[in-house]
This record gives sequence, structure tokens and C-alpha cells, in this order.
Amino acid sequence: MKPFFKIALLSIFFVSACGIPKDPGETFAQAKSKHLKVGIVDNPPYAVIEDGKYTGIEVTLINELALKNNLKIEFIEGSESNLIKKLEHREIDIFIGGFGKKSVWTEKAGSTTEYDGEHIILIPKGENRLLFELESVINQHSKA
Amino acid sequence: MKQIGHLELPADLRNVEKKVIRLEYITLVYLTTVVLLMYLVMGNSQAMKTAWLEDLLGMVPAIMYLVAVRHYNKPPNKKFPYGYQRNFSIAFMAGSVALLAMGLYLIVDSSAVLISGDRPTIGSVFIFDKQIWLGWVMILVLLYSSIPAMILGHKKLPLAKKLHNKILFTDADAQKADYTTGFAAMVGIAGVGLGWWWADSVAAIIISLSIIKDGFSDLRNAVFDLMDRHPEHVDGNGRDELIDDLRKHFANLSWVKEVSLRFRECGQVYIGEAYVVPNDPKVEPSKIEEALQELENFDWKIRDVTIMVVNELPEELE
Repeated sequence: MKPFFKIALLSIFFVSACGIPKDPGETFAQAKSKHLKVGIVDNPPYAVIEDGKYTGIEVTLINELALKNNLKIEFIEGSESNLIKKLEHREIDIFIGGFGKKSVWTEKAGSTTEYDGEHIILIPKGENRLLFELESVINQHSKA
Repeated sequence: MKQIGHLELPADLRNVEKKVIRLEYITLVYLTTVVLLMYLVMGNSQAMKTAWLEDLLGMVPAIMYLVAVRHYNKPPNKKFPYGYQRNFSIAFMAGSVALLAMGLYLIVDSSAVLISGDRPTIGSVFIFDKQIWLGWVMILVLLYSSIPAMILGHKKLPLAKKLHNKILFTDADAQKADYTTGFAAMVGIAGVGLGWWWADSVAAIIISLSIIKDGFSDLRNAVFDLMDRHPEHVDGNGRDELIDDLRKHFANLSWVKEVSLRFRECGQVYIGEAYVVPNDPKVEPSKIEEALQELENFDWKIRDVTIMVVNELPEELE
């Protein structure tokens, strides 16, 4: 039973260590020190681009994330294929545009849980801290 | 003469067998819950996928044993004059092939994930409104997949030795050591939590290697048995001395001058021939029948012996 004792101790150590999960690519930390780069394509009512203004359910979620964590947001427009490439190379941090949970892009990116039972927000693969914070906001939003 | 080759386990071993059958049913129920839980939480962690497939495959020996144990004891018949003992060896062989194939698949799969730099994205769950990173849940499930398995393995191991059953032994042995793969996966997941995305696929590769190692040594063992190797202990501790004891037993018979044995494993039991040079070249057949009769009480593992009377022993084997 000795190894299990060690495992238990290790687990406690890990649980108590704050900041887990961490981002392997430091996306969230960099978003804090600089700004959160959000790729967006127009897809009402989830993500709407109108006269240089960004609205929609997903934009609301991003705003809530920014508010909660004191982040500055920079929206970046582009084509879907262009923005997904940027997301893959971690040139943007988040990609919104009313994507469904079965979207082909989920092969190339990580995704949140469905905020409305159907739609997801895309993030760079493996950026688990960012995902953690986003899902926290999604959970709060879905209760409200 | 009594029917040749029909095995009836001694009463105490019949009880052991009943116990083992119960333990294997418990194993199957337990592994079903493990596999379901792991499937629910594995997300896109490669280490979890590997550990999951390992546990899924861990059901194979239990199922094989339960299937084989229903038939091995059927009396020999015209179609199968040697009986059904060997179905254990066949089950063992099939199980080891499955294990090896899965190990090879998983190492390719896990290496591809590592090389392509595919990072595991692990979200969170909300339990009573408390946000918990799914990695912690995975680690809990891995603990559940390790500790009871270890206990079951410890319980089955001595019984497997008593029954001289290889599928049982490898099943018990693998479960006893299951915490090592569980631990590897846990370290992998914890590594991901610390931001080391590669820890996940590295853990998966380590687990795959251990599956390959087990699969290969089982397959080797199974093939050697089917090639009629000299009987060996199930725990891999070399040749079974029982055959030497049997040689002494024959040498002590009053009418026997010299004896040479040739034995092989057939499932749980040993079968083979005894070449005997008698003191008097005219041996009464009843002497031989008597000797066969006595073997019934020698050891339950010695079955289906042919006694061949010769003037000169066959040449010693190298």
C-alpha cells in the first residue's frame, strides 16, 4: 500500500498548488499582461460584427471573461480558415463565430463545453488555464 | 480400463476453482465500471485513452477463463479423444495476441500524438457549483482503476498457482501490477496540469511499452506451451520438479529397472509417456495397469500417461 500513500500525498500537493491547470503556451498569462486577442467571424446571433461594433452571445461571454479577469480585448476579423490558422499558431487566443460542437474546427482547436447546449468557443489546443477561466464564465452565465 | 484423459479436480481444488470463478465475475463487474467511468472522463487525454484500452483489454483474460472453465472438464469423446484441457492454452494464446496487438497499436498512436505536438485540452466539471478541473477527476478515476485491481490481483495470484492456470496467473499478475500504469497515467495528467502538455503522451507511450512487454512475454509463453515445452511453473520459475518426482516414483516400482519420461503441458495438466525397461522382459499387463492406477493418486496434474515397455531407453535428450 505504500505507493498509494505517496500518490495520495502527491495528489494533495498538486491540489493545493494553485494555478493548476496551467497553460503550456501561457496564453492566459499573456492575455493578462498584454491583451486578449479574440478572432471573430460574423454569425448572428452568436457573434455579430456591425459598424465596427461587436455584439452577440459569445461577445457577451468574452466581455464577462475580460471583466472578471481585468483583461483588455482586441478583436481580430478575418476569414474562418485564416483565423483558425492563427489560432493553431497561437497568434490569437480565442476564436468565436457561433461554432457548433461538431464543427470541423474542433479537430484543429480546443473547445469549451457548449454554453447553450449546442455552441462552443474555440481556443488553442491544450491551453487549459484559459479554458478553465472561460468555462467558469460560461457556467456563471448559464445560471444567470 | 478407466477412460483415458478425463480429469476430475480434487475436492479442495474444486473449491479453489469456485472461488476463482466468483473472483473473475467480480473482476468483470468491477472492470465494467472502471471502463465506463474512464470513458466518461477521458476527454482527449492520450494517457487516459491508453489506460482505458488497457483496462478494456484486461477483461479479456477473465472472459477467456470463464469461457474455457466451462468446457475444459468435458470428458474426451470420439471427436476429441484427448479431451478439452488444452482450451486453456488456446485461450491464453488468443489473449496474448490481443494484448500485443493493442500494445503495438497504442505505441504508434501515442508516438504520433507526441510527434505531431497535439496538446491535450482538458476542461472542467461543476460539482455543486464548484468548478473542478477534469484532470483531478481523471486522477480519482485512475485511483479507482488501480487499488481494487491490485487487491483482486493479490487474491487471485495464489489461487492461480494452485490451479496451475496460466491465463489466471497472467490475469492476476497484470492486475497486481496495474497500479504502475495507473500511476504513469496520473503523473501524465498531473504534468498536463502543470503545463507540460507532452507529459500526457509520454505517459501513454510508457503504458504502451508495458502492454507490449506483457503481451510479448505472454505470447512467447503461450507459443512455447503449444509447442509442447517441458512443464514449467506458472510463475515463470523454471521447470516443474514434479516430473523429477514422477521419475523417482517410477524408478521405485519393483518391476522397473530404468525409466525415461517425456511430458508436456496441456492446459492445467501434464500429459506424456513413460518409457520403462522392466527387470523381467515378460511384464504382466496388469502390472502396467496397476502403475497407471497408482498415478491417479500421485498428483492431479499428471494425467493421461502412456507407459511403454522397451528393452532399451530412448536416447537421452540434449
